[in-house]
Amino acid sequence: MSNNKEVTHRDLTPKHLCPAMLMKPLLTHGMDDVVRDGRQWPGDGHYWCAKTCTCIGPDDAHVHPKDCQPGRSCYDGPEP
Amino acid sequence: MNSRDRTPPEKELKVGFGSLIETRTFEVPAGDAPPWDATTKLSVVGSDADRADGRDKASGRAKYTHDIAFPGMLQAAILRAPIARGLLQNLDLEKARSMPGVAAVIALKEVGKRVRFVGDEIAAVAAPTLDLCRDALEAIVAEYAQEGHTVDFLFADGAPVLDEQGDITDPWPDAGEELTAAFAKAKTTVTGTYRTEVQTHASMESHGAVAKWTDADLDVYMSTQATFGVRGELSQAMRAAGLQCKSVTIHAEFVGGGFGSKFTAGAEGRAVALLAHAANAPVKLVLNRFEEHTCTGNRPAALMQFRAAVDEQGAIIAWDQRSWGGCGHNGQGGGIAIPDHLLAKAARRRERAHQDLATDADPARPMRAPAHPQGFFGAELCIDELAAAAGIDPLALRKQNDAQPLRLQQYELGAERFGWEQARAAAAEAKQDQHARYLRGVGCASARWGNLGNDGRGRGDGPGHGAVCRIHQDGSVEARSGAQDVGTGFKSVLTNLTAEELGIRAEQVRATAGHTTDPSGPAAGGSTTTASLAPVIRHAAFLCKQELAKKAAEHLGVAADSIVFAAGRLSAGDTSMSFGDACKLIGPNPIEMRGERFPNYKGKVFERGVCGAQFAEVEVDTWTGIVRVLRMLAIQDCGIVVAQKPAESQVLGAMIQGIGFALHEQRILDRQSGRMLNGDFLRYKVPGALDVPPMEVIMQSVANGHSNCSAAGLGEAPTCASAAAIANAVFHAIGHPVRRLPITPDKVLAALHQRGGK
Repeated sequence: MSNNKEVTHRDLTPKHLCPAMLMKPLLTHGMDDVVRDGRQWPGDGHYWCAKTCTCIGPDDAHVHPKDCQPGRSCYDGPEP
Repeated sequence: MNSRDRTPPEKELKVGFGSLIETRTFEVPAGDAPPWDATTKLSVVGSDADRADGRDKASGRAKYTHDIAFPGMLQAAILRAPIARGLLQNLDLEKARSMPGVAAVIALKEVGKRVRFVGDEIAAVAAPTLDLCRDALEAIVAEYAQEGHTVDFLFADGAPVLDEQGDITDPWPDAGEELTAAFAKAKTTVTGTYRTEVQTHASMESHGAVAKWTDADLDVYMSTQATFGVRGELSQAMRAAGLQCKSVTIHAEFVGGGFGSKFTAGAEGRAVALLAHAANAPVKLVLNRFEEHTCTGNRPAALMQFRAAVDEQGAIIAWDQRSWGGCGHNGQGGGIAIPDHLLAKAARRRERAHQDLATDADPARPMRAPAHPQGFFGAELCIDELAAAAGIDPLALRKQNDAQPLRLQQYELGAERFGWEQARAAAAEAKQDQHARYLRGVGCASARWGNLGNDGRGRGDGPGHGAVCRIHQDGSVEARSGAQDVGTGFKSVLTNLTAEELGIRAEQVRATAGHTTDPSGPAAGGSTTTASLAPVIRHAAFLCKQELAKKAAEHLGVAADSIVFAAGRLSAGDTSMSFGDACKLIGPNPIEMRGERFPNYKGKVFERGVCGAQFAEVEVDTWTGIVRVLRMLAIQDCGIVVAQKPAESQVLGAMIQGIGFALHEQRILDRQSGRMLNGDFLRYKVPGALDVPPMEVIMQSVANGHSNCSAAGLGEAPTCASAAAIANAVFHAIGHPVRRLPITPDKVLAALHQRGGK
């Protein structure tokens, strides 16, 4: 990283993430843990949907924080 | 007023370990138990007290998910896709539904949706016996539109080109001025391509659950790492399926391992709940070993290239890397982590050079220290190659470059205990005999992880993590947490901390974990559980102690705050009474207190994580290429060691997993069919008793100063180093690196051939 600011999983999480999208830091309460390797997205790259209990959403597409946002047909959070 | 709202007083604590102990100031929240530090004398914590549930497990009294049974309970099984990629064109469940005895048949994939790997879930059935379930699965008609697939990530889009030796031939991307300049002034530079294979979690207990509905209330007995996580997940899943679901209660009293694969309820967890609802009966669904290997995640493969340089003084001054992750169909989670603590003096590439590659295979899941064993293997072997090329002892190179004082002590202690210099010298001398069949080598590697736990509140004001302590009139004591013990020894954490605080023996405390009717805690992942919950367990016992002290004080005629709890007695000056007699004062209702998890203290902690170092000695049969690990040593800290035996067991388990990762384990998928060819424990080889050498673990109890008991996470750290240390020992033995795991005989013989050709 080009600066010394500590980045956390929460910092990398989109503001309007679908509440059905799950990842490990949400379960371990580790959203404020510091991320050290320059990754772009929160967690360790493993995401799944609470509605399907797999990494495929109800719309048959992959679960990912970049996608599980308002506008996706299965998005289940409050509209921004 | 919540105790968290009070101004925290500053307190001086002795933090550190051994000669590194120093005094630092921390803000200790009002109301917390007085924090332990490096000078605190503890009697149960850190002792060799037996594992709390050891007798239950050894005697068979422990009930795992597979052991759960209810009257009228049905069995269940899943129909899985036989193709690696395509569309589900037709699904006819009617014949199965009409079979006598079949209680429920449900679709898990809708017609028209995509099939993404061999084993993808299609449908599920429930019936009184597994035989009938299998017959019903055969009666289901599923038709697919098959498409071409790729299960080898080296053939996936975006994979780099490799030469015949397996080395990446693509030119390095521009490294930038600083890194280029660092390489230019180096004394010695090495470049290597390193590779690891997919490792499955291989938990002894496979995924499974028993689901039981009572009206709209769902009870699930599940092998899970996340009791509260899957409670919320299944609640959403049931509502999404259109079912009325007022409550979900998870029970996971005993769990036979998870290693990261059991954070989600999974398709099987959702299926069993839906089947139980459809059948109006309890249903059990436990995956078989083939399903466990092929459908519940894995540690993804990795392809890494490193180039590293040292200067004349032995400082690692330049480090460059690029990597690719061999993932499943989701194409995520294949990153690597390397020992940054060895590279504090090195110029580095500023941008992350990593790409995950998707294949038509089971998607990866987190696995014990995700990204680390792969990256540590490659990077630590590269560092040993660098040391050899520069003519520096590899341990000396680490000692010169490691930035963490505690690990420097661990290197020293390990070298002495393992006989590093003598063993290295003996191995080198033996190699002088050019006809020697057996060669020996000695290697080492470092370990790290960073988790001091959390309060479970995030940025909210909720109650956070909890735990309950109860003291009963008959002298019995309970310590309860709704978080799960996945086999790591969390119940011993409950018993030892409670016993320590109350001045009694660990055997006097009954620990219960894994029921979401008890106070909440985090999922067992990222070395979080003990670090997060130990302080709250101790706080619960501390609050109970204060209540019991009040009752005893009245009886003894002393001030409550003058009473000391130790050795099974409550004492104040010359007067005392036994713990059991004090409990008789409680009355019919127990003293019950819920502990609070205060935020980690503000102040400069000794370490932000934990440190470790491991050593391995191997013997290589140069005729057959077989590598045998002769002995291993691990030195590891985990904050103040709460439960010695389970802690040692955690490290031993990591070392055994490391042997498997280094020498044996490899998921093999048939490129034609996409099916796993070794989906059992016969052909997917995890270490057996004869593969496990004498292993020593030295736990270092380190006061960090971040909480009332300074407990830090342990599960991940020792996993980082084991395979790397073994690979380095093999390199030392044969004088040529084996850069691809597992180090099977064919690779050893090829390396010997390459060495001989030089």
